[in-house]
Amino acid sequence: MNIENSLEKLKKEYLNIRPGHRLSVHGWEELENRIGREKRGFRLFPLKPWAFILTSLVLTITGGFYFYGIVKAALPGEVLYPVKTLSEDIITKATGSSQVKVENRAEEIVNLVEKKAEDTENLKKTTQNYVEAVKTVKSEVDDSEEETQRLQESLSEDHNQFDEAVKENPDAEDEIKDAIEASDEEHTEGSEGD
Amino acid sequence: MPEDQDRLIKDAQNGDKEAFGEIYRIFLDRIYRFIYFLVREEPLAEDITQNTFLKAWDKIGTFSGKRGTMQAFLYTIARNLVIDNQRKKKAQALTVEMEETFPDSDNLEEKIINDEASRELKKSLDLLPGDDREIIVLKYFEDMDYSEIAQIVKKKEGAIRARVFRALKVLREFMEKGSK
Repeated sequence: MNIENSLEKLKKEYLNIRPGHRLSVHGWEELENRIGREKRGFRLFPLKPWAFILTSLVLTITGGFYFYGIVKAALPGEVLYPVKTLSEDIITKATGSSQVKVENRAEEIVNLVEKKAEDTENLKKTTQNYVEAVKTVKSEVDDSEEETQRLQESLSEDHNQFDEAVKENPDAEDEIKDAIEASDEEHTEGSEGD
Repeated sequence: MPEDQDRLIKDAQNGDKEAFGEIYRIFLDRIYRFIYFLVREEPLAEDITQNTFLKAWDKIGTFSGKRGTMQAFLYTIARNLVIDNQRKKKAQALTVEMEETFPDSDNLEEKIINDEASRELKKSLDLLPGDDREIIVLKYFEDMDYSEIAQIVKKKEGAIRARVFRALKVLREFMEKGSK
């Protein structure tokens, strides 16, 4: 008898192997009870571990950027504003420059002026903070021509934005007068020279 | 049938236990006999069979028809559980005497073919390395094609063909020696 025939005979024997009565009749019932409690967990995490980690990472990064965007747009008096100032302090310490404070105060002044809020206290306070931040940045800038140039460009941009905002809300001009002057490089340098 | 099975798999992946119950019923006999043939102990084979389906339920979310069949998915789990079990009791691994070890079934006695060649082959199969024996079972008893066997034992198709060829040669030699 050749090997193929023997295998064929043994196959018949193999195919006669059947589970016992308990497994055949009650097997699923028993298994169903065992998996009963695991159904929810399976539905919550249908992803493979690596896909779960990757998804979590992407969600964390996306959520982080989204949260930072909300924080960055916070205006004085809003709940997230302290978080914004705290993040500025961290950036300032890390970079050794208060430029981020100047940029954020300028943005806040423009937003507050455009909002035409009746309560002008926040606008006045933000203007003061802007003036102080500009002074700090000027004291931080070394004598290099490149840095001075960059600061002048930044202030000039702020100045233009303030002018535009005042055109939309002329009543706010008095409140932000100091900021307009602080951002006016020629005026500032001229005053310092006097 | 494959479409029905696809539907059952999708439903089971969405947490439908009844759909998974159908899959269980479709594959129970096949998975059990494969496991039984490897472990030769009825209670142990039953335990491993149940654990195979339990694990399959846990992992069914990761199953993709593009990577293989449900049959290959289940046999892979079964095989891994048998290997785990064999590791635990290495002393008894795959060298158990084969005679009279098939399960007690009402009319099985009548069906078992007791001719000399078959007995020699059974003995010879036991002497094959574990992997080769699984491959022979999947190829000649379960009628699987090489690609499906390759998925289950995690080897390339070419390697499976070579092992089948080698295993048949070994079996032939054993049987020739036995008949002399």
